Amino acid sequence: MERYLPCLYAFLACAGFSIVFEIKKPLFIFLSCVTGAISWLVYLLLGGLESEVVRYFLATIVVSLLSELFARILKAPATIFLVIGIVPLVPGGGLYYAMDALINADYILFAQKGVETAACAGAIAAGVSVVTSIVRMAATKRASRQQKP
Amino acid sequence: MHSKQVELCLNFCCELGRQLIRNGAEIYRVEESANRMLAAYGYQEAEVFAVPSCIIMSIHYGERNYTKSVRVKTSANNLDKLDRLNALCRRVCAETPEIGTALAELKAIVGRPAYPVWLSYFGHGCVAAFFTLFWGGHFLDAMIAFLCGLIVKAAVGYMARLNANVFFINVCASMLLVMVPVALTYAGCTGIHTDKIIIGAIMLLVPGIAITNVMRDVIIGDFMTAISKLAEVLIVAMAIAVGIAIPFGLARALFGGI
Repeated sequence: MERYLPCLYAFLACAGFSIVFEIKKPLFIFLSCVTGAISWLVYLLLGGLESEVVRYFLATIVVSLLSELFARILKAPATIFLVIGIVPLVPGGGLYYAMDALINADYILFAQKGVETAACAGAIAAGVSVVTSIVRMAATKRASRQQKP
Repeated sequence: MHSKQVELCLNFCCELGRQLIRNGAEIYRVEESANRMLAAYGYQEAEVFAVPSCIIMSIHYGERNYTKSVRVKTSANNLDKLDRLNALCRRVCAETPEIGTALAELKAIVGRPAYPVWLSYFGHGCVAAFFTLFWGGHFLDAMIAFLCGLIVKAAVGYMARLNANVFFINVCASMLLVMVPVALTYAGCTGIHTDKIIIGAIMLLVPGIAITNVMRDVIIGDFMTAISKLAEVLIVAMAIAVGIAIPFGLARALFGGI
């Protein structure tokens, strides 16, 4: 149970972010917090995978899918849920430890942490792109089908 | 008479687009929304071009061309307004109300009050505190991080009012927030996790909306927007890194390492 405590913290931190980004509707706040908690839950559940990058990538895919789903149901921009939900995955720790290594003149650690951070950021970006592309293709297909009588 | 109508419609669409950008919409959403609205009002021959800092719209109607460009300066990132603007845009496309009515609704959305200041401060504090716990900090660390969150909010708010640039705002804010745990450590407080506190509070400065929107704009093929937004993301990340480095470097130079 202890292992999953960060999910609760992610939920509450995302609630804070909902206020920072001025989301007003309680349902939206709740759903974006759920998205945030799930993002970390997926990351933890994939603990068996060796590669950090793959874990981030898959977690991002789940988050993006959820955001697009909420967006379709509630007819709101997916950005609202995505921006909040993805925050727990942002590699802020990597950025900090890279800088710390740089200040300590430990360039090997700096390079390692820096590349790791960049790779995780890339994985998140790739995850968002894949889902957005697929959703858009599906939307285009549906629109073209509706146009035909 | 007709030309008056066209110009009113153009004004409305430009203003809606500007507000969409200001409140954190992806650029493709702005272009798409404007195109749809113009089409809904019967202007089929319309072109919309938007980048994060500017929107240009032109309509060919009757014998004439009408063009308007608006400059978008500050961004506010208010997701509630974004949602309402998006809903307004959908309704305009579906019902094509009088421009006057639509404009009044737009003004009502723009004028919606933000959260009260104390709640906004509380929100910033909570983000920092809970992310500190999230990254493995203890309760005391979370309390200190809460304070750091308040400092970030105060610093960013104050400097934004003075029209400081994005780089400088982020350098100063991250410098101030890093000073708190560093000062406490040098003052002899043992048992606090400087790293966890800083990582938790830094989350407030990470440009989340820009990062997600960059990717979504790349997908649509809007590389110009993506590059300018990416530059913003990188500059902010660099500013945060510099802001972290300065207090550590200073402390080490003045008082020696711990």
